[in-house]
Amino acid sequence: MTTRACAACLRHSALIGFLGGRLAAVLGGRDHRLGGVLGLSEEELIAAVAGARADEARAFLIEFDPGAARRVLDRLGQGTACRHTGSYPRSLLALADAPPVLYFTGEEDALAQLLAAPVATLVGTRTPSRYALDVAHELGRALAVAGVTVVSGLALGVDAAVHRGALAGGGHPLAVLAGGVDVPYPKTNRALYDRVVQGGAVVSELPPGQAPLRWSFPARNRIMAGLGSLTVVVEATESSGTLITAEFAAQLGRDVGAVPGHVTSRRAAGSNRLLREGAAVIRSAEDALDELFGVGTEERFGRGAGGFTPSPDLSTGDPGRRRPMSRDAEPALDPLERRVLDLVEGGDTVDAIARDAGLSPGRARATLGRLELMGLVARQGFAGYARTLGGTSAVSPMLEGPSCPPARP
Amino acid sequence: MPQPTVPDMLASVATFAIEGVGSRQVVVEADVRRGLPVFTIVGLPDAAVREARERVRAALLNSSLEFPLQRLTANLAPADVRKAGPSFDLALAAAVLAASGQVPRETLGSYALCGELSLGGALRPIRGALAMAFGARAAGFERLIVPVENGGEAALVGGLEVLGVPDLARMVAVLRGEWRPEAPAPQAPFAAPAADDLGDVRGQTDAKRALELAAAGGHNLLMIGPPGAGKTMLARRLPGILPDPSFDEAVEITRVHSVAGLCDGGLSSRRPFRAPHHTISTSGLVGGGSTPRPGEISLAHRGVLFLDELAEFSRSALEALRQPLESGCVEVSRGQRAISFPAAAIMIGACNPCPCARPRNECVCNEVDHARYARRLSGPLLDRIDLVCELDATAPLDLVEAGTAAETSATVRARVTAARARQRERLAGTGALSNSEMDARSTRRHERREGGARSRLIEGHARRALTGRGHDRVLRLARTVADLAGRDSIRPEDVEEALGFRLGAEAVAA
Repeated sequence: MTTRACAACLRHSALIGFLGGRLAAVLGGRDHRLGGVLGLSEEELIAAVAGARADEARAFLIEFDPGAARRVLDRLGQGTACRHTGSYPRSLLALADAPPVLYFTGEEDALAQLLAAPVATLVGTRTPSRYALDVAHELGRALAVAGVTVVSGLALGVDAAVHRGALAGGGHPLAVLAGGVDVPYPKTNRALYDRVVQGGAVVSELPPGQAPLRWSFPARNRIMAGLGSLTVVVEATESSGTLITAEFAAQLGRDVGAVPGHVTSRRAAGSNRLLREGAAVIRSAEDALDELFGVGTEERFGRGAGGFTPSPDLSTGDPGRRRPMSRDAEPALDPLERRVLDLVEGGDTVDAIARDAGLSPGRARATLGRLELMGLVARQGFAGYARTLGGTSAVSPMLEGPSCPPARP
Repeated sequence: MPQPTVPDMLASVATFAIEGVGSRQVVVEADVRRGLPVFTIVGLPDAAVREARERVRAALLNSSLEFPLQRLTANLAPADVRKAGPSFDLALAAAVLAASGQVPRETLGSYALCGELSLGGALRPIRGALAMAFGARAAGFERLIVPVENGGEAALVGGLEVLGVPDLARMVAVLRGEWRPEAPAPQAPFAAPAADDLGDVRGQTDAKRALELAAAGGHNLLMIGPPGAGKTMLARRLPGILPDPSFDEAVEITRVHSVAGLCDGGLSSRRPFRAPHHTISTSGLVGGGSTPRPGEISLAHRGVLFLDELAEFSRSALEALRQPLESGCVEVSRGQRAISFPAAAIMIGACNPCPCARPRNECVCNEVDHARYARRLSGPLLDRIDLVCELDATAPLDLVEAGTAAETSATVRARVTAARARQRERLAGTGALSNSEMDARSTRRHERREGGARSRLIEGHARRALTGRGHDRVLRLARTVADLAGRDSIRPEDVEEALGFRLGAEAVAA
């Protein structure tokens, strides 16, 4: 395997890695923007951030050996693309501070293949509600089934659910990391990282071995926003880093969508604000496909993607009257069960459910037990009952471990 | 050849040593013979027993009795069992008196004696008098002399004349046949004074239902909720909705409390409520020590063990709870002997839903925090908790809803008592008192399931991956639901409710 990125770009990229610590000092706090620092040329970058280490940085540039760097990359099995290669994603060129080199796992053409399909970026909070986890999983799965390449950040919570969903749908997930692609982060997602590497690809702008730094998370977000034609925020608080991704996407003129959440929920305050500011309402994968291709998905794209047959949902003419998130056929419910199910969905405790449905507490528990046997609700550890997406329910992330077989052989 | 006779200067007296919640006979032998005046105690005495020399000497002299100025040797047999505590004082004094001819030796054989001496000759109350009385009766003694304060407690054991004696002089009078104390009357259980009432708690109907089921069937309960939801308030009201203990149960409670020195001299007619702090050691919780003492779970026997902040207890303490929660007793091994403490308590745990302990909509924990917190409770422990309910901070509506008064403890206790009566009738002869104590065989035998209930259980297996233990526990709880409703057969909705309350080991899987 030979790496395709040119020596100059590899050197520039290595310099960014070398100055990572200085960048952290200059870019500072949590709620910062990158301010174009990453778009500077090598000499400008040294002048801007190196400070006392300027001489060291210049020496680093002189001593940089592209051959040795390529041998390391070959040994690690990492591919690269730089702005001077054909495999560099066109979509990223819109960024003023597009990374000089993209490192990725897999063959040299792996990235180009993944990005040949339409790309949607799905992101969200690391502390999602059960509802957001389910929606993230389902969006990832359904978009993967539709042949869309799903991009996310491998973080806990929504990101992980998106990747799992994409893998469950037989898709090829693309994860953008804030550190080197050989540094799984967070460590608790190690098993998922392995599955993403196997089934799709992991991408980063930083050279191998680089640990993620504070500034590299928003930097990673700009790449995610740049790769996707559509960026969907599944759930985000007002202060969530996820909103940075949406902001980058909006600056690039890309479509931004958000999944509606409870207006009373602090967890969904950020994503709901996006909706208020004009982001597309994403109730289902079909809504996302509409954003990507315009209304009428199946003519534009559907059959082209490897045996994809549009579901009946997709042929509903008027997108405004479409059924919400697709679920497996629900067993017939009596009005009482229906009422309790709706209340569970509203996040009520058993106590409140009993009161609102006019049931004795024992009967409320019994009804929940019955709904659980039907697979419509599930107990969430210490957090009470929550609605599942019928039989298609997301794999609970707590249950995922090495014993879970990978979705793809 | 003439038979060797017991020389005049030797005497032996029976007493009892506490072992677990039972007792073991110890024979005190005293030998008085010519020599330098020394008093030696042999037979593995601990420091308190060795110091008995000084108490016995002073007590005898202060009671106008004679302390022999000769070589005195006392042996506590069997010599290989460690003797601890001051309860041997009285027997030592009696043996010395008998060996020196101050009380008749021949009458001593029908007496057992237990008590601690003060220097002035008065008797001080001891721990475990009830256990010693049980031991004395089992060993065939006709009379037991104890300090007068322990008389009522020891008299709970029938078929034994209990003599409550205030001081050493009176004991001598008893042994010489010159005086008899009034027979102490065993105290009958009296109605427990009104504890906190369930009617004080507004709302939380789900948790109250769980509490009622726990009381009715003796099931363990875990309440999960943010601070201020009323978990402690509810737990403290559980003893108030339990039926008063029967005489046998009260004796069991008294026995444990007596051994631990918590007995007030009579029958414990209230169900205990124990709430140890979460920093408690493993042996403090389940019992142990070099001379094994009952732990909190045994002190809660036939009552309630409340563990607030369950997730903060040490891992080893919680793991040690597994065996007593399953079997209703604690086995402590010391050397070659295994000692068993009763531990049939209802365990109520309370914990926060997550480490940040904020209301649901404001929680800032991520999934890893949640999983890590839940994992502090092991799967096997959760598997033994039949009822898990979530509480939220009380809704303002509940606070203003004055019109609908909550049920009082008395109303609930009546239902619980009726359900317990059904269980006692059904379980007669099995040794179990409530559904939670049924063994696996009778659990299944006693189920007159309707067809639907059975298929519900099978579905539950498929959906929840119930363990074998989980299956039985769901069945027992469903049995209690049916008992509370006054039904003989288990209906599908009973199984559904039991499943609805169950969290099980799978909650902390992986």
